[in-house]
Amino acid sequence: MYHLKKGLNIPISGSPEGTVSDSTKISHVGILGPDYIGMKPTMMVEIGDEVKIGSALFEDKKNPGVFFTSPAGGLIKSINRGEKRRFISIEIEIAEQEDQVEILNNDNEILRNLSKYGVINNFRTRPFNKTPKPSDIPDDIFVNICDTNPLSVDPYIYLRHEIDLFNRSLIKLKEIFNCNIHVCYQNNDFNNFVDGINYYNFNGPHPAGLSGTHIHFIKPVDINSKCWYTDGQGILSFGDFTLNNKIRTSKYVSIGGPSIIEPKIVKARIGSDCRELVAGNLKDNSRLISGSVLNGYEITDSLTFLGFYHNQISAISDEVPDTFLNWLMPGSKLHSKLGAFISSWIKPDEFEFNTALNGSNRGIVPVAAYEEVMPLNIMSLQLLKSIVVKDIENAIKLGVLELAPEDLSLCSYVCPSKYDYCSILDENLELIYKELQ
Amino acid sequence: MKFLRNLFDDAKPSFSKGGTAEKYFPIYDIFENLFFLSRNKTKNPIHIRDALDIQRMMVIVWLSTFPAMFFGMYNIGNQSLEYLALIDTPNTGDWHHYLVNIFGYEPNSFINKMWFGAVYFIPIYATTFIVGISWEILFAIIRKHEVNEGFFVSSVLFALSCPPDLPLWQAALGITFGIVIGKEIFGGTGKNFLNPALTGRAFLYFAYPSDLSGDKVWISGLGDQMIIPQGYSGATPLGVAAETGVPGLTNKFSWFDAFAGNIPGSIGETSIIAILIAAVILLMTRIASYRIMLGTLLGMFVTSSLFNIIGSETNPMFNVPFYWHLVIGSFAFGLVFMATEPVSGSGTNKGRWIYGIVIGVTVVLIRVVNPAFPEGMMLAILFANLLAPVIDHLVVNNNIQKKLKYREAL
Repeated sequence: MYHLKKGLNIPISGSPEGTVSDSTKISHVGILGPDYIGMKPTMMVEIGDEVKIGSALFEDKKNPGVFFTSPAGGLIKSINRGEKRRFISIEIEIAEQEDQVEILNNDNEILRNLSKYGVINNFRTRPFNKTPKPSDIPDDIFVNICDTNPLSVDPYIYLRHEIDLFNRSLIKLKEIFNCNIHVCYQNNDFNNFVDGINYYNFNGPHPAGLSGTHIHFIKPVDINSKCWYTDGQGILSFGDFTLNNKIRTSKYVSIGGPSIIEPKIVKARIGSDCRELVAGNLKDNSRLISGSVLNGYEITDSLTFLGFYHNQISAISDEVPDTFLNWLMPGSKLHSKLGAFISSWIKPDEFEFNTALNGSNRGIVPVAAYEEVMPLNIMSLQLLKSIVVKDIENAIKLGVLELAPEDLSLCSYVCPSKYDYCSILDENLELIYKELQ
Repeated sequence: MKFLRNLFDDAKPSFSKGGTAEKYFPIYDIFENLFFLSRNKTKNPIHIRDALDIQRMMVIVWLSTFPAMFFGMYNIGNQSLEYLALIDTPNTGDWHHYLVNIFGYEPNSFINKMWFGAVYFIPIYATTFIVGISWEILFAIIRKHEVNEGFFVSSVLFALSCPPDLPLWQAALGITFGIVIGKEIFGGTGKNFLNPALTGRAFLYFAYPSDLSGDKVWISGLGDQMIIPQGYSGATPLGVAAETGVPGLTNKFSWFDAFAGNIPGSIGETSIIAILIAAVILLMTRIASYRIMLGTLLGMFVTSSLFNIIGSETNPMFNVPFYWHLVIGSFAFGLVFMATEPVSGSGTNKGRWIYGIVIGVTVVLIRVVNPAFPEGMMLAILFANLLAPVIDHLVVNNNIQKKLKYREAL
């Protein structure tokens, strides 16, 4: 059992609770390019094409043999590209009658099929957080059934309903890859242990529920590690595919935040149009986010879909009121890790966050907060400084390869100089990856 | 408020990109930030942010110096009016006289004491502030970034660390050295490896020792009148201790006088009570590192006690106990305001303990065994500033090695 003390649970209002309900009917789903780090698509469909569930939509040019498949049956409605024709999203209009491509899984073909039908995308490698190559066999697979992100729900709440499939999937996973499988859970009621699988209980404040934290404590990675990670829902997708020859089209999503009228947990289509999901449940002038408020995409016109790795949708007020003499005000409604606001002493249960940056960019000043939110045995300030100046040699020594952007989101949250270390980390990892090629 | 907001909104286009006064955006930015928090919004992937920014942080440090600042002004008046009454000369002997004379030289009036102190302190602070911020703005314009609020802290700490009778041109020169050489040439706040306020102070100390050390500079007017009555000395308790040890010290000052601040010294350093208030604010808001403070206290306690045990016939400083070290000279001021400066200090938690201990040990070493300077805090902190990168390097390397071993063991 790992009990972490350092970290921070951000007390944001609008947490979802209770039971799972079915989502409203969704008419559009999509696949997002930015979900897959370093992926360059070779398109296999055009606008107007008809696709089935599991039809290949594009292949990764950088990772040949890995396909990305349609999570729905219907028509390709649009393909969105951004600056320099960077791929953003592909949109599919769901047909009334959906068919699935025929899948034949036998022992010889199963590995190839995982890539061919895009199921391997449920796993990501650490280091680098990329989709595994088709030929890769991992040494360790980490399955994460914790979630400590702000506004998230404990995944066991919904996994409980499919625990049989979950356990059989783990056995299948072990059978196919014959590697160490580590399952990390946070719920104290969790008691469905399977022989041959390693189980660990993690608790404590965020980031105790992140895969990066689990891997760091159980088996830290270096440049040669063959480590994959996924979450509980990834395992369900894997299991449905390998055991039932079925492409899973739905996932459990929690919807919450101060701008959500009725926070809830829903079973929704994979890649759902987020605006459809929260229709009628969102306050005006809000920012809708796929993912958590600490690590997510702002929903915009070209990026409207639920991220492939996101299990939550958050919404916060996008109105930033003028704050007069901020440096003098007591700040009873402003959240801060250190004690510079009166709120740290009166401790309200919840805060209504908005999208204010609360300051502007300055040089890094080492405050205690960076260390206090970093439970990993990593020299946080030194690592942050070295990635800011892109000193990758030093950053590797300090443990940058163990991290994904989400692992640094609390450091960014508390940074009084308002740096975005997550994006900076991404650039550094990309740089290291390129140097290795 | 609405009126102000409109005023800023109207002016903004000329200072923004493509505007006529684009270059001078940092100046606009200072004033806008003074009244309104920036309207910047969060971007992907982090959508909410902690409310603390550098401005708020620096302003809290700045405000925490106020007790020391106001007590400092009172104490300038208190010490000088007493002296001037003693020599029966209601005249400071320089331009300050014209201002002081508005309220007069009555040595028992609180208002007169405050006024006297203000007449001495405010010109020093104003000079420091105006000269310093001019440099900051100049660098901000050339480098195209905003002015960092850390300057508020550097300027007030510099001013408070000066003797009350400091010539204003020296204040200007000192803060210039501190800001330019101590900070800006390395890239500004966040990149300086020396404490800017102390760098400026140390520059003055070595460039103009007669104005920053000795027995004559701590009482305003003493340097100009140059009348020293029988049995009177303007020396600081630390100076007295260096000459005559604990007996001389207790003969002239009580421990409580030194604790309350009723002693000659640099403007902000004398009152331990005022400095303690700041320490409480800085520790409660967790802006200053308690590790550095405790480390420094620990280092000072152990080293001074060690000297007490060793003892010396010839050097009276050997016998000064830790509780006197705590209240005399700039130990407390440096401990709370200067040593805890996060940028030039150590950046690792273990390193902060070591860094503090280094300061505590060095300050006593300089005070006791160094014959040239009675005060050691300024030099001890600057020395530790220089050592901080080495300390951090060792701590970080140790962490890397340990992790490597752990991984190999797996």
